[in-house]
Amino acid sequence: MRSDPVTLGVLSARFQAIADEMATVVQRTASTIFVVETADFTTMLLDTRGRVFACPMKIGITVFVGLDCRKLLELCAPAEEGDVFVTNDWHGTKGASTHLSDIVVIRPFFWKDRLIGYGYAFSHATDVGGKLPGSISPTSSDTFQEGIRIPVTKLFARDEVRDDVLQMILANCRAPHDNWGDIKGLVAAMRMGENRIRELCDRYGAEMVGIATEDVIEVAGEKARAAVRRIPDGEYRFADYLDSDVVSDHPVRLALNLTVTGDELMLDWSHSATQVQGAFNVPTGGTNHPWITYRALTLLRHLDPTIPFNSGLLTPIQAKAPEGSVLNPHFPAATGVRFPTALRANDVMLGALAQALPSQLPAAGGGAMVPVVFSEPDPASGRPRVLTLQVLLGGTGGNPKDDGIDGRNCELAMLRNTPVEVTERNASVEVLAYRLRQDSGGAGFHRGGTGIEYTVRVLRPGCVITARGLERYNFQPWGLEGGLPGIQGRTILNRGTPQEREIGRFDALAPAPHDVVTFLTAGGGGWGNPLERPGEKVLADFQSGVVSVQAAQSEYGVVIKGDEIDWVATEALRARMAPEARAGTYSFGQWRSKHERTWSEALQDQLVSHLFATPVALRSYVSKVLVNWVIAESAQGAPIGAAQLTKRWEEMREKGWVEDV
Amino acid sequence: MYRAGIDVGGTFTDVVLMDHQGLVVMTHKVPSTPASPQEAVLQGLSEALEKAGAPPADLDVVAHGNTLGVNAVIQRRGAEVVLLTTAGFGDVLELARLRMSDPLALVPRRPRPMVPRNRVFEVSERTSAAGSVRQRLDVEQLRETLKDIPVSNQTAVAIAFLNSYANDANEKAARAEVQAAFPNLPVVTSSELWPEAREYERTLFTVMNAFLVPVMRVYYEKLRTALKDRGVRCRILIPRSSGGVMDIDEAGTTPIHTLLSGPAAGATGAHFFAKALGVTASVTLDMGGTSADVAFVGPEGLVHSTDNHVGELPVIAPTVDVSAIGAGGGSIVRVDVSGLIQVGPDSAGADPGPACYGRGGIQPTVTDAYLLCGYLNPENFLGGRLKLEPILARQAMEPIAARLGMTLESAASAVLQVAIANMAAELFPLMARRRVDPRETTLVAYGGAGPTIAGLLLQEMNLKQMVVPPGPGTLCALGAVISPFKVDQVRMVQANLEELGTNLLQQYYADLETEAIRWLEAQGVGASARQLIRGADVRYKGQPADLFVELSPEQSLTAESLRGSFEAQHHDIYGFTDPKAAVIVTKLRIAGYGRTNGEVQPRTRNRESDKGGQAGSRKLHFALGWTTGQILLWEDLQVGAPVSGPAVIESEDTSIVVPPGLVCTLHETGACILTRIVEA
Repeated sequence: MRSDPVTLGVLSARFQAIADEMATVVQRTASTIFVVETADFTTMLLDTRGRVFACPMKIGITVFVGLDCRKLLELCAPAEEGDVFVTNDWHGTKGASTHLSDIVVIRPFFWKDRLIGYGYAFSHATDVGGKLPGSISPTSSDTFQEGIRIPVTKLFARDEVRDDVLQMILANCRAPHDNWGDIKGLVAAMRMGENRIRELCDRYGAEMVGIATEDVIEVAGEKARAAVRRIPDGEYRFADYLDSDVVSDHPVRLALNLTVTGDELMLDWSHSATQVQGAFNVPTGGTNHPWITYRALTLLRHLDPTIPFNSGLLTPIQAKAPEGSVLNPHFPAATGVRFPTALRANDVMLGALAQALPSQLPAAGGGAMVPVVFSEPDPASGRPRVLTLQVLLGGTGGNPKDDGIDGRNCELAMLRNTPVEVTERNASVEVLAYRLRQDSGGAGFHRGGTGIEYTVRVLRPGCVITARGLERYNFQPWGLEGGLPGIQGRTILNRGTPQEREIGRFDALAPAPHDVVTFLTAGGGGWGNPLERPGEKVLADFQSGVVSVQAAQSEYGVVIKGDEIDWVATEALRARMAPEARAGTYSFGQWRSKHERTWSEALQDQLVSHLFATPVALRSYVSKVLVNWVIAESAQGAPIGAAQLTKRWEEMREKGWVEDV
Repeated sequence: MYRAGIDVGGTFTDVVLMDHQGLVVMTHKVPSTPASPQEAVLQGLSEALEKAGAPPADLDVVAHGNTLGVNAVIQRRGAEVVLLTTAGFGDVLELARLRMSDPLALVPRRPRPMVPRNRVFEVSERTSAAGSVRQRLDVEQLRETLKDIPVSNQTAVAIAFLNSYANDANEKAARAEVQAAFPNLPVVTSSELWPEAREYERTLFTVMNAFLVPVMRVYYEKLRTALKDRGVRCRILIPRSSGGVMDIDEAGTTPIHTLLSGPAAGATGAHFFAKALGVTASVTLDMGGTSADVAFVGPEGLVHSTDNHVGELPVIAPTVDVSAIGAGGGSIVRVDVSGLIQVGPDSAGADPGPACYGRGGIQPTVTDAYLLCGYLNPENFLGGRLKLEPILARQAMEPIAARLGMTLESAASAVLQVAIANMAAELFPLMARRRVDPRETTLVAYGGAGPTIAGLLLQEMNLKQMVVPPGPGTLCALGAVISPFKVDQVRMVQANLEELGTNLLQQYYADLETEAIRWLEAQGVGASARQLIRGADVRYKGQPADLFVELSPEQSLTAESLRGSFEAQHHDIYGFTDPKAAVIVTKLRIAGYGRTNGEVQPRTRNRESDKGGQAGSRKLHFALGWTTGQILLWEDLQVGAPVSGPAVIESEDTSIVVPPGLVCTLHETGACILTRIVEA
């Protein structure tokens, strides 16, 4: 640290203020609900080496604090005063944007002709072209279907917009006005950021400001290292699943080897699935990237809340994911729906860390974020009108100190919901229920937070409902230290009528007028043995309606008669249930047990390693053949072992990969 | 005749007496009595009257600001609220708006809803978004439900149904049933209280009101009786969160509208002096021992926020635009492992308070740093009401200095630099959000600690100037007594302006105005004393947020004129208009004002000196080191005579620190104005 501590204290507060101030400028000048209300954007300050030295903590998306922008800045050259670069190209920038819908704007900051840093901002664009309105579809199979790709391009030169470039971009978007309005907001924020940094240089000198930017990162790094030292050395392995990539039914496994050695924390994602055919791939550049490190960063800040919120948090961390992984796909993979995968990667990091820090961390949260998107024909023009009815989340996991939070969660995003009164005003639906879902939180000494129920009646013909991110419908949010897993999500058409039908993870639904659709999201996992939960708390959950009388009995061993506990019956029941109580760290639920009876850890590792050894172009084909073969063979009798799989894979290789007819 | 303004704060209860000419003739402070706040009010008022030589019968108005409501909400000490909602939506308070206060928390804290789930009851009824009753209230079911409701003398009932802002029939019917079943319980419906769309915010607003009714009503009743016993039989007025005052009876039934009465009254007082000095845009800084709050004030009065929060709870109706920026003088100071100074966020509070208070606090605080830098006079702090102990401040700051490798005073000075940088870091984004340019902004500093730190903040943020009004320690009490009557009305419209048309627009405003006039008349405000100001929340179709447009009372009201006003403002802010775009009117608003009786002079009658302070000089420590500064008494200052920093101006309320580079001038109103020394 080269600054004096007082100046550094003052300047680090000012850096934070500038990042926050830029965010407020975006929020007050941008033109879409996505940016203004949902706050799907951020504004950050970068040093000349592409490291983030300030990022807003209370507004917008916080996950990108760990972004490495070296590659991006190499492409923003030559940079002159008043330039603004624009891009959404995840491939060229090695993950500085992670799907085409996130438009990134970069402005070099100059003071007296000297380059002193950069401003970075992104916002989620309503539409960037591609195969359907809104641009994002789980079934997109390559990035070209997801919209226009903008390599790093100079959009402003000397503060003048380059109209040809702008028109080229806007001509390829369905909502050009919205996009331009949002980009202008980002650009205004960058300009104000540059002015503020210049004021600091005027006052303190560019030298001192430059040193302070390095020092705030260094301080964060030192503190982050100190925090890692508080995690016991060891190797911790954990895996979890996406239900599927929608294109096939096969679950997508994310597997992590987390190694702590002194003040270093390695995140090795090498055993995770190879890239998928749907749009669930997460571009990370294969190294430290927010989507595959964020949970570890939040853990470090949990251990020491005074760590400055900047790139320095990553100092002790080294992540890797091989090229071709679902967490580091080859170009031109589709990446539009990378969020559910990132959410699961977060769960995986949590699961591994829970071994390292027993009795300190929560069980898995609901693990899904579902925007329910509604399209109806405009009565006058007949053209489709599209809006998001609601964003659905599950609760948080139970934790060592308390129950999980019911129906709310902010693991990766801090979205706001849409008031029902606003939804009903803007869409031809009647919302019948928006409430907590009874018995969905995993039972535990500390209960998992519940999922929610969202029920809508469609009032007009010609409407379509889509809902990407319908996850945790099969694999449950796991419980911890004896707690039970949260209950899976469901979607039901016309519940409680003779026409009732389970529609599960549907793709697009075209309901008839008066059809009623019910979404039930997963609850968080429980923490600790539910049989040890004080009966009074179970009774209180029953009285508040979060737990039913049946679940009180079957999950907690608490017998409730009328409005009171039958203590005698409860003691007897709990004694009977005690031997069955789960020991061990995690409880995953039946779906995962069943899956892993066929797919042992060794077999899955072997499959992944063979696929990485298969030519890229053939991987999804070979994967499909091998998966189907394993399923068919195991259905016959004994589970397939890793050696048998290898034999089968080698046969395919010898035949030149193509199976005989 | 006299008017009395009172402010009940956490530490002190302040009284201001104003004579019939509108001159402040007495300011007085007594320790608050949190267990029964009216005792301090009575004591303060009696003492002030006695000192002024006025009998209680000479009072014709008592205006009483307080933070009792807001404290009750934060500490959850209020009624046991029973909430009735539309079937299917009983978790409206649990789900809130999903977002949580700390998005970075690995283990977020479980929120505590204002009404636990087992006191929420769902009722069969339904109104559509367009305001038609799809399902009439199921009276039989409600009656059955009411049989299960646990009732005590602490119970209050809140009724908030979906879309009731568009049609209140079902809520009214439900209220009738509840009142028939429980004639003695307070019952509040969301549509009568604040008929605005967004069910969570409206429901919570209704619930908070129900929560406060029993508490505040009882307190106001005790206060009134106690005052009557002392011969005070005049009107009692309560400041409203959006500025202005309302009658104590009204405040007892809608206490939610007085939730931020203290800050609103303070900002009203600050604006009063800012206006007298010709200041247009200002930010007020109210800093005491445990809090530092800023509020935004425009040329014509308070800036209103419709997005304010109490803790994590949103307040849907307009309030003074106040935000907290740190924990004030009580903020605890530490040095972290990297050798950086950390100020706050935790506070020593009022008890034990800073180390130098000698009440058992041993951790160093910002106030200790003031004392060590020479900014406070240990013998004349708060007019000598509290003796400060420099030795305790030194002991507390010693470890900080040792860690920093600095002298004690340099360390104290460094702590203040960091504290001020932190406040600036909070304030800059707040100003950016409101499009306020720091260089054009005047800081109006009050409260015990505000004037001490504000000069340094002025320099750090490069603000235009700073004003300390006379009596900065009792400004909230003054603000209460000079406030007009005020009422806010809202109507949801959510319509295309062109389709709405002039006739309907005029009719809607006429309805709102009738309501506002009825309210003002109930407060005794006649036609000649009232003013109604129309406003509207408007946007272009497709825009994500409304713009609030105030409509000039002179202009005739038509759809075209409304559009014109909106577009003029849109151009000011965004630099363009879109004449082809449809304009959506979301809400219409009326702010009704009524003059209270009497003149107000923006100055304070000179008081004879009864303080222990003494002019002279003292060593002061600033960022560049020790310097000797003049010490002056505020009452000795001459109008127009500049005092250059370094200097400290002491009064019974506060110490104004004038750092090197600033100059202080006394204005004829009695206010001190600090500006930068202009180099020739």
